[in-house]
Amino acid sequence: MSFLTKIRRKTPNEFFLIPGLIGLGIFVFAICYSIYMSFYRYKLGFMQPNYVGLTNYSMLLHDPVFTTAVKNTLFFVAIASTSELLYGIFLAVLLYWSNKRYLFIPFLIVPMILPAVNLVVIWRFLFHPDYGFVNQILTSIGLSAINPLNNPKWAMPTIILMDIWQMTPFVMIIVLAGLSTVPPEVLTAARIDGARKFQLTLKILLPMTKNVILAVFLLRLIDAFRIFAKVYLLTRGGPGVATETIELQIYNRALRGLEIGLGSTMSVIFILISLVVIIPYTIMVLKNWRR
Amino acid sequence: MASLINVFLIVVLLTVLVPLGVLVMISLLPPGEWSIPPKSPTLDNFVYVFKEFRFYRNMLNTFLFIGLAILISLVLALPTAYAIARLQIKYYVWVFTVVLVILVKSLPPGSLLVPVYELLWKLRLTNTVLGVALSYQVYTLPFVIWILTSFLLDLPREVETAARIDGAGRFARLRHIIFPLSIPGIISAVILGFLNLWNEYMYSSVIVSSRNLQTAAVVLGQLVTSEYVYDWGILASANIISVLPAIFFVSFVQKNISKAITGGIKG
Amino acid sequence: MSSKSFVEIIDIHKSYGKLVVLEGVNFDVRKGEFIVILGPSGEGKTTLLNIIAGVIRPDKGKVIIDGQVVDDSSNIYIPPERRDVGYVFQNYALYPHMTAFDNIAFPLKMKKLPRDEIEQRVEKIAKLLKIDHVLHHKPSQLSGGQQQRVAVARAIVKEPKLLLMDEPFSNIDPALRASVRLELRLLLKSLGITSIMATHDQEEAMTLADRLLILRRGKPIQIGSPMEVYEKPSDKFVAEFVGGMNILELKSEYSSLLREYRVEGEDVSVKFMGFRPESVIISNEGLEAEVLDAEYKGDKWTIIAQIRSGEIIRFYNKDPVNTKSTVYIKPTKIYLFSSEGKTVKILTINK
Ligand SMILES: Nc1ncnc2c1ncn2[C@@H]1O[C@H](COP(=O)(O)OP(=O)(O)O)[C@@H](O)[C@H]1O
Ligand SMILES: [Mg+2]
Repeated sequence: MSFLTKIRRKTPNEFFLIPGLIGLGIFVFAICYSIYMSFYRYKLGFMQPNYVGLTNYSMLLHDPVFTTAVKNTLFFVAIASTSELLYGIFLAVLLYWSNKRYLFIPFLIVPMILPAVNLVVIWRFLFHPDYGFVNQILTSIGLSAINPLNNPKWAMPTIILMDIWQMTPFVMIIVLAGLSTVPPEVLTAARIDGARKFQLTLKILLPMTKNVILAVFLLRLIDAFRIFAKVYLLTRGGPGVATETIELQIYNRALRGLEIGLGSTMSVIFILISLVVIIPYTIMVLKNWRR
Repeated sequence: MASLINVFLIVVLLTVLVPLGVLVMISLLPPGEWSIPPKSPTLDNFVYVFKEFRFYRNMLNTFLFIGLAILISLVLALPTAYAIARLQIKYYVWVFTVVLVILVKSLPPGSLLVPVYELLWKLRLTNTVLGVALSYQVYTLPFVIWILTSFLLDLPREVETAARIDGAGRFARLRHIIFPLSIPGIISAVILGFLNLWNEYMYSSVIVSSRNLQTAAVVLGQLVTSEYVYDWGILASANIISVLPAIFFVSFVQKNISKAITGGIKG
Repeated sequence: MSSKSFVEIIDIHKSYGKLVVLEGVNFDVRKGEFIVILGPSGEGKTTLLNIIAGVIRPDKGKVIIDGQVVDDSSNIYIPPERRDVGYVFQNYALYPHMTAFDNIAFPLKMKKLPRDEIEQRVEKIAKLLKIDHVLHHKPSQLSGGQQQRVAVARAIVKEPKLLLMDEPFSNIDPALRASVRLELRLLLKSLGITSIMATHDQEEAMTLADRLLILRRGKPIQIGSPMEVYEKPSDKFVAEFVGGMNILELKSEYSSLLREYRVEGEDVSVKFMGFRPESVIISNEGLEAEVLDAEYKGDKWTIIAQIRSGEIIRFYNKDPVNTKSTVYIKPTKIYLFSSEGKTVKILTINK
């Protein structure tokens, strides 16, 4: 038996985890490093780290811009993912009952694959105050022009609308796949008419798909924290601080300013907030993967 | 009833198609015009984007970064996913690994931007292809492990058992059985990874500052965020060009795309 | 165990949680012997084969192959990849991404044999199994029978010490089964391969086995040649499962019948009586039965009849019998079982 064979046989199964664990380990190290640095004032390339205790935290928690960013992020996550879930389920059910669904699906999922920049171009053009498509239509039917992207009250809803337009197909396609796994025998018994379809949907189809729906909701919640490109490109956080988010704060204030200490503190706060949705999702995966 | 449903779906379809149609029509606008539909449509914008603007360079950069990032991830992920899905591992090690995968996969990438940037800066890897590909691991590594693990968990075990009987150890099984049988899973990982990263703006813009390494998304982002009126026709045609690879990918695997997406979700 | 035994299975126990699957399995296999494990589905046949192959480990017990302890359910464990056994899986488990040739060549490739030797051996075995014309096909392009042959070829090409087969004929067209079975038995015998096969099909087991092992509630309730098992079933279950014996609960009505066999009332432990369909003759005295149906079986008829106590019995007759008619039947050989089902006595009478 060759020396190599001996070594191979001796390696424990855990050895196979190492490549992935090393990669992931770097990110875990990064998180730990962030926690450590969150107690320092540290400007990359300009000054040495300087221990300041909880100063960064108390500063951020009293910082009106940062607290607004936190609120905006939570608002976006809650409203966007809930709307996408409900609208996506609705569309999935429509498609499920449609005899022409294979004609609709390829077109309906296009927004999902568009890069954020494309969406932003479309949205900015649609809502451009002077020559935007929406205003062209509004003025042509005698209504007054609008400028939602420049309106503190309407900027965030416009971004949410954009996210709904893009990400609802994701919910739709996964819920539809879930609905399709409901065995047809369960449904064929009933004669199909309008009222029946409605009841079958509410009483049989959706309850039998609830695990998939829960999974897709958790995924949307987690993903909704990642809106950076859309917000940054569409409004840059404005007007004022109306669409400021945590990601934007980290990017603009910390990174552009090379404020590693402050940025680390923001990251730690961001991680703590997102753990609220990550933990249930992790538990779900652990259960599903259990061999 | 069925026709009512279809009518409703057509309305939904319009809400999707009209904005897309608007984008196409913008791309046909000559400079200075912005009426929809265009009065004098032209393809000059596309020609300009290719010839003068040299946009294809940025697209090549994007391809290069993403390709390298996914390649690195696949190499690291395959043995790991294999061990998570198939091998007998101490339970606490298994839980620890899965939690780590899901945690890193789910963390907002923004929360890792600061330390990752600082690390790459210290390693003098900012503004390099490798640096960008390494920073993309935030997205691709846990994602690829996740997809491959879900895929391997669904693969029938008996084929691997047969290979054990035939004398194949873990390494031989990974190479001769698991890897070739994972190819559909690897393809979904590549496609979804591409779709996801084609979009990437945050890391791409921070890690790269030199012009000739910028990604398509970053260049477009700079155009679209510039305050003064830029030429909308050029902007839109560059956008359309940039999305073509994604469309190509999706139509290439149109039947499998929902399978690829849902294949991952069971996890 | 005798020194002649080549494989020894010693006191194997296996449970899945609360479900006890194997509870003390003991047997041995001689070199070149063909053992068939017979039992209804869910009795643990696959589990037992997997333990012998090393795919799963027993909770307790020992497996010895060719004098080497391959699993003692504690420290010693030789994994399947180093046990040198062949295994034909129930669904074959062919490698879907490889051609038939590569499937068969895989075990040799793992042994790092030179390429031309691999080619020679694969072609030789493929000829023996008559699949040499489909070697370049992928499994999905093969018929069920061809897939089975590829699976067999892959299992025996490396000339393993021991061949395991799990219901290898269950996916074969029933019309072809008999001939495929015979060919396989002849091939294995001519190569001298020691084999253990699992099946739930008693007819298959009877025609193939040198010795049968009947698995029931986690234990082998009988081990013996097909003839021994048929002639002297160890209990009521074996009697019924192998050869389909008629079993009747003993009631006073049959005492006259039993008296002919000189079974007297003193044998209180006897609870059941059984007789084989082929041991029945129609006469003008004996058990009264009303004929329900007669099925044509080529050389004979199967008569299905109901006796007075309401139980249904079946027996064979050279000629058909009218339905609804009443016949008197007499078994030439009866089996008596205790209340636990153990065989207590086997009695024959002369007509
Ligand atoms: N991995 C397992 N986990 C739990 N129960 C199992 C497992 N494998 C088999 N069983 C159970 O063990 C019993 C025996 O299974 P098996 O060996 O496949 O029987 P057979 O091959 O005789 O049909 C069955 O009841 C089966 O459900
Ligand atoms: Mg079985």
